[in-house]
Amino acid sequence: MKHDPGKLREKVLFSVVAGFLYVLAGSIQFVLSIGAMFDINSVNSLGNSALGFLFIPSDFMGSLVLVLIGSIFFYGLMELRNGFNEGIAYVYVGIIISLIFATVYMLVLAGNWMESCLLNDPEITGWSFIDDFRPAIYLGILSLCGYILWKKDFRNMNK
Amino acid sequence: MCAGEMKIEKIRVALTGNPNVGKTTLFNVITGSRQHVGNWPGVTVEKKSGFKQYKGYEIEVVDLPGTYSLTAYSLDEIVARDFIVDERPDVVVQIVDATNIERNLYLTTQLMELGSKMIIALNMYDLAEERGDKLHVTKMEKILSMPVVLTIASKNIGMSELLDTVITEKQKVKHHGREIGYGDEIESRIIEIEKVLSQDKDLTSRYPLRWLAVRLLDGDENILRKIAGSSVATQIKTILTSLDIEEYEAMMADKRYEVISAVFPQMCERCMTRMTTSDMVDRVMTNKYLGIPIFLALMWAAFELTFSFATPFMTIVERIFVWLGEISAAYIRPEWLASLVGEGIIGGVGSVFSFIPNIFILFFLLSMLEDSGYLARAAFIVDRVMYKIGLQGKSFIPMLLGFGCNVPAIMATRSIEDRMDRMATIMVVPFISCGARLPIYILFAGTFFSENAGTVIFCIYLLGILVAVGSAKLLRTTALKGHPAPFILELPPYRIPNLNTSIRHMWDNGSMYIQKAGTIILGGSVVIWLLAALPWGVEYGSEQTFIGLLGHAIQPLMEPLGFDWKLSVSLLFGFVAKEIVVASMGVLYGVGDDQIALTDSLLADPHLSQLTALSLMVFSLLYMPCIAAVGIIKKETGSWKWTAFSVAYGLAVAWLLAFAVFHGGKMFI
Repeated sequence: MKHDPGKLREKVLFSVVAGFLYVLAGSIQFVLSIGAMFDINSVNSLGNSALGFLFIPSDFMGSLVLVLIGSIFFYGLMELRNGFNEGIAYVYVGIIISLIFATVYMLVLAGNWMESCLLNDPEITGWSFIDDFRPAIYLGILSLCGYILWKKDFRNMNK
Repeated sequence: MCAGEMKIEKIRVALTGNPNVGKTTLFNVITGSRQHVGNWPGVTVEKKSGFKQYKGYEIEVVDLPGTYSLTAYSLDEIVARDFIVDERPDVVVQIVDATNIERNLYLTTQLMELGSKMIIALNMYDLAEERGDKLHVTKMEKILSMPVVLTIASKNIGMSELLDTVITEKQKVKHHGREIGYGDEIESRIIEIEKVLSQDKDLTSRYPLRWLAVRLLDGDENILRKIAGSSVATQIKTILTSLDIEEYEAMMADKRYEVISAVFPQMCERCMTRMTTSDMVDRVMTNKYLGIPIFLALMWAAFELTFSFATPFMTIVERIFVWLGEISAAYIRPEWLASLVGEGIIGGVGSVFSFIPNIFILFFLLSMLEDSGYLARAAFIVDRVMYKIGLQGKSFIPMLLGFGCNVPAIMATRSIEDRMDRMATIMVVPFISCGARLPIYILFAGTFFSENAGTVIFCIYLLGILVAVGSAKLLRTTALKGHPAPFILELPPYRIPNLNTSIRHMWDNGSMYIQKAGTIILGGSVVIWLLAALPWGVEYGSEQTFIGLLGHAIQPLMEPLGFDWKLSVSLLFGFVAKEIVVASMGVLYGVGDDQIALTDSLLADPHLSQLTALSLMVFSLLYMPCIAAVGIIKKETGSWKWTAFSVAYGLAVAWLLAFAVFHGGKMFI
């Protein structure tokens, strides 16, 4: 299987960046969720203040998902670095799974918006868009760019 | 019949072929049926028939279970073969996957021996051509001595041509088929056995003798049983015992493959197997380290959406039923009738209806995963783990079907060849959480774990799988001792899920719950209302009513699990159908289908806590699914003993684990 070396380099770089960001966001989220679970004040205050701009919630399962997506990118990176061009499949699947999860979180956000704003459910009064804005959504934009950029390459990745 | 009216001629067609080649899709397109089509092998386990009026003919189409050969090792293979042999359809249509002709030809070589009129439907030829294959249809017809029709069932292409060919074949007076030559040694044995078989006129009239002889030399026990009552049975046995049947079986299979590899290159050019995009994606999805985490992550996403995204739709349904309840309270007289309609019927049915959006969303997501081809990979990934614990991965397919409903899941175990594997799978499928249990989890997880409800529900589903797998291990090392049979699963190519198909699957699976709400749940709600209202004069739903007395009678058994009499009696009614558990909660708390009021009542109940909720969810997950599931276990095992064991074992496991959760959890919560 022969691939354009320039494009291959782009995918390697993408895997490094995406893998790092997903694992970083996942790790922070994991620490915050542990903090919330065991009520560790120092960790909780970190989440509320210093890292607030990253919109990272204390969501345990979500943190594992982010780390998993990052690991898929890193696995692909490892294969590509070792000269296995099939490693591109990892980049492709990483992008697809990250897009699936971005969609999942956007649907959750849409559901809560409907519940709060359209149905005025008293159980979730005071809900704001920021409450459900998760790292998986904004990191998904990066994956979307990768997908749009290499859509054709992925379709023909076996050739 | 009026004068001049023409008599409609009937044609019976059997659709056969390897698993997952599109038989059911083709069947649905021709007959206009809506049988479940799955992107994994083994979806059709029973034959199904449908009719089509075409050019003055009434064509009965019978969809047979997919089979790789006619060796009849599993129940679905026997169903397929017996139909062709015993029912003698006018025409047999073998659906062949055009992207995988070589493998499909093995079945063709065996079908040819049956002497039936045959047609090959070369399905999904667009995919073959897309990848550059050149199909030589005319040559194929010549070599196989049967018509070959190009079809794309999913796009309704080639159907008229196929039906026209069916009519032409039916009208043919003489049929010239091809046979495989097995070489001098085997052929002389075939002739010898044929000669003996021909002495039995009954056998001669019922079966093609050469086929019978070939099957006997192939060591087919099912055929041996068929001739057991024949006058020539002893003679045949003597011949067979003098031979090394295993060697003959291997030699005959070799011969078939030899023929296939000789003729195949003449039928198709460039049809070699190359690594496809699907294969490359599988490198990731079935990766040793990433495969299971990806599977778990996708399942978690499905449950997260089932809970979070469905909530507004649930609220809408709930408000409609609350409004109906208010109307009935305001306008219906006398008061007891208003209570029956409002609290009993609308409350009971409404409390189940409120969860229909969740059920539909879960089914929609599962059918998207199935249609994409991913669930077949899930079975493959899990096989590694399952084989280690004594079950084969094929058992996981019925388990996945069990997420919808345990009844078809138990029926789907027919595709498992090994009897021990099959029995073990039947025993553990009830632990897989079906859609009917979802309302219980949504109610209790939503009430007591609102922030993490999706994750709690996911964990409950996961627990079901773990208990099923653990129980399988236990059974395979005790009552059903033995090694699991090796599992060969053909992974279908990935496909972008079709929205219409997914919606149809969602409806097919979910509509059952709407029907149940209008029948069993409605009846159950009336019974529960009566028990909660009688004897007259006592407070509705109080401890003095019949339901209260019943609850108190079974409470001692359930108290160690943290359940009061209301929870105990609700679980008791859950034996009929699991949705009734939630319906009876609404009735017992006197809030009907008002979920917010029910949530508030549950939170205010001093007997209930997060631990009770967890314990209740665990018990609901594991104890007997419903009456219908028990019925199907009896039917599929053919044994009251195993059926009773399944119910008792489920109850025992449910009780023990709920007890462990309730008391063990006290250390953490």
